[in-house]
Amino acid sequence: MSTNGAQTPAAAGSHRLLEVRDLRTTFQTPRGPLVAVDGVSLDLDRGETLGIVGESGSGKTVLSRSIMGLLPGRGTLLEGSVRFDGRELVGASEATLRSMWGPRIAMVFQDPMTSLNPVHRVGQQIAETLRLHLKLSKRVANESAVTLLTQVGIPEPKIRARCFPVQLSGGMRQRVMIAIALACGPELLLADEPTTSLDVTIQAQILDLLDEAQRIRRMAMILVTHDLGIVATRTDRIMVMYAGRVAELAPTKRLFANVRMPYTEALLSSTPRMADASHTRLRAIEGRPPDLVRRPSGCAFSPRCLYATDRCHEEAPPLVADPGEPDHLYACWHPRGVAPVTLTAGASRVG
Amino acid sequence: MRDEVAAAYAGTIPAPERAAGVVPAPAPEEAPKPRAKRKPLGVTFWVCIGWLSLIVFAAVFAPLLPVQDPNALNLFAGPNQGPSWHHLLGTDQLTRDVFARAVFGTRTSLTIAVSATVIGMTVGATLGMLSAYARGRFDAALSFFMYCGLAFPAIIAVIAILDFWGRSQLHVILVLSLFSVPLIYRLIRAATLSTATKEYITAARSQGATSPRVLFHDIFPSVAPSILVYTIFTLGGLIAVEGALSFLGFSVSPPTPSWGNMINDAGNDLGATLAFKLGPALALFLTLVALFTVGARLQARFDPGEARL
Repeated sequence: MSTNGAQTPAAAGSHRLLEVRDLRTTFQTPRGPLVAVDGVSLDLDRGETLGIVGESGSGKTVLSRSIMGLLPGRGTLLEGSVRFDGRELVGASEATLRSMWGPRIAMVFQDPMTSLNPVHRVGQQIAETLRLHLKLSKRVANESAVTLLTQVGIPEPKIRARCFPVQLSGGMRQRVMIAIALACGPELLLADEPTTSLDVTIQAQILDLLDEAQRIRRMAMILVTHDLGIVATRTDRIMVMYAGRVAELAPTKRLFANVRMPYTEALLSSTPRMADASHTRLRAIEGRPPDLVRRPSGCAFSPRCLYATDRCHEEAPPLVADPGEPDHLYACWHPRGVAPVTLTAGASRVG
Repeated sequence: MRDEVAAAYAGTIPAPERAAGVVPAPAPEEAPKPRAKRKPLGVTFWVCIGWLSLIVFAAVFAPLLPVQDPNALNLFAGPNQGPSWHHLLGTDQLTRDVFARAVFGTRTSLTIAVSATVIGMTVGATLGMLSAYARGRFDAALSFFMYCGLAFPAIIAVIAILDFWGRSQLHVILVLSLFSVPLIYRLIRAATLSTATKEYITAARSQGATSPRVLFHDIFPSVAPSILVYTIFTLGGLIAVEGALSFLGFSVSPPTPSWGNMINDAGNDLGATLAFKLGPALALFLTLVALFTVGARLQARFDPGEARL
């Protein structure tokens, strides 16, 4: 692993903002090594939004933290390459990473109830980051904190800045988290399920806020979620993860139009739909995600897949590009060639 | 058809919110919640604080107070006299004033217990916090060492060390603080561990905070209440242990008074008056009750389950 990450980046324009190659994250567990992220590659440009979708335990949160390098050091092995603006982050020193965290890469966490320190005032928590990275004076940092609170749509920001997190609602706290993440003007924002713990109306506000911030600052954003409804309208590309691997990666519109991987199809058909009649039974994917310590041979989804054949159980499918659409990647031996997807389950699938 | 599919999924989010505009304003009724009202600490708590203040005052200003010389003999009063106006708690077998000895005994007991607690708490809490934050081998090795210390029969070890080393006040302080470290370490390590694994610590790291900063700025404020409470409990414990040591004759040497050796003196003398027998014992008892009451009340106050969150 190359550790001379501090070299000057190559000439502008010759590389993407984020280049992840064959990233693999292994946790040592008492039962053996657990590969939470297994050989994931992705690229991201400035101003672009990538949605990462998958069910619980599919490795999406670990992936976002691996990209950032924010993993517990003990018993964790990070392999592969994460190049951010031409600089290698895997194997970079803690100090190098720390200098990137905040001004260049920032993260919005899943649960605003637990992600803010309960013993410090929220304004102070925003100001800290500013003082640390931008070396602002206490007074200027406090004023900037109030400005940031205004920008994230918090009314009466001067009063709220002096509040403790317990005094604010969940939506407000998530706005504060976003203000902290945006404080130093990051180029890449990792939003790890930013709305999962919020109610639906607040979800939309928070997502609009992230959209807005991204557009103004031309940030790249990775939006991790298990909710396809969130990524459908707010991302440029979507990566579907299953058992730590990329199941399908495609531009958003094409993914919804031409689903190739049966897992994505199953995910889509298990989303509640506005058009459905009331009391329609919600479809679920049978079975459970595989045990990542004892990964099944072959395709990880094969035990739950409707179309699995012997080959699926024996041989893991590589990630290949769709012959018709080179930017549509999927890992499946039996891609769904039928386009567009028939969402009325079962009937037209016999083949 | 494609648009229809996308639109259907987008439909999960209510349309008015999506159309709401650039910076969506939150609902106006979201006023800041007032900070939760806390349960008052109660009369008992303040009575205990009052008693402790009195004790501390007596200990600090003993030489300045209008009490007699604790080691002076009052041959005119005679030995083992009951309480009188001149000798509030009477005299002991050597005609010394029991009240004066109890006041100066407070001084001895508190000096030893407070110093040992401060040293033990500083060392134990620092190691506990570092250990819980660093984890890994450092933590495992230190914890093993500390558990060995806990498993050791402390009072016997203390007596052996003091007997060998000499019974000065300084030695008693050092030995008591040494043996209070493992317990403090264990408690503070546990308190730190539960904070260090919280999401907001990861969030603080993700904003580029260095380890010392995370430790002192983000973790310490959450551990501080535990440190305060355990300081009070340790103080109570060490006052009791010092009492036991001086009762056995292993703390400060006579004629310096301490609560423990006064209780011992009263116990060994058949002619001792009730006031002599009860005075120092009651002082020790009340101090311990007061300390543990205050500690327990504060613990309940700081417990997030009971207070807020």
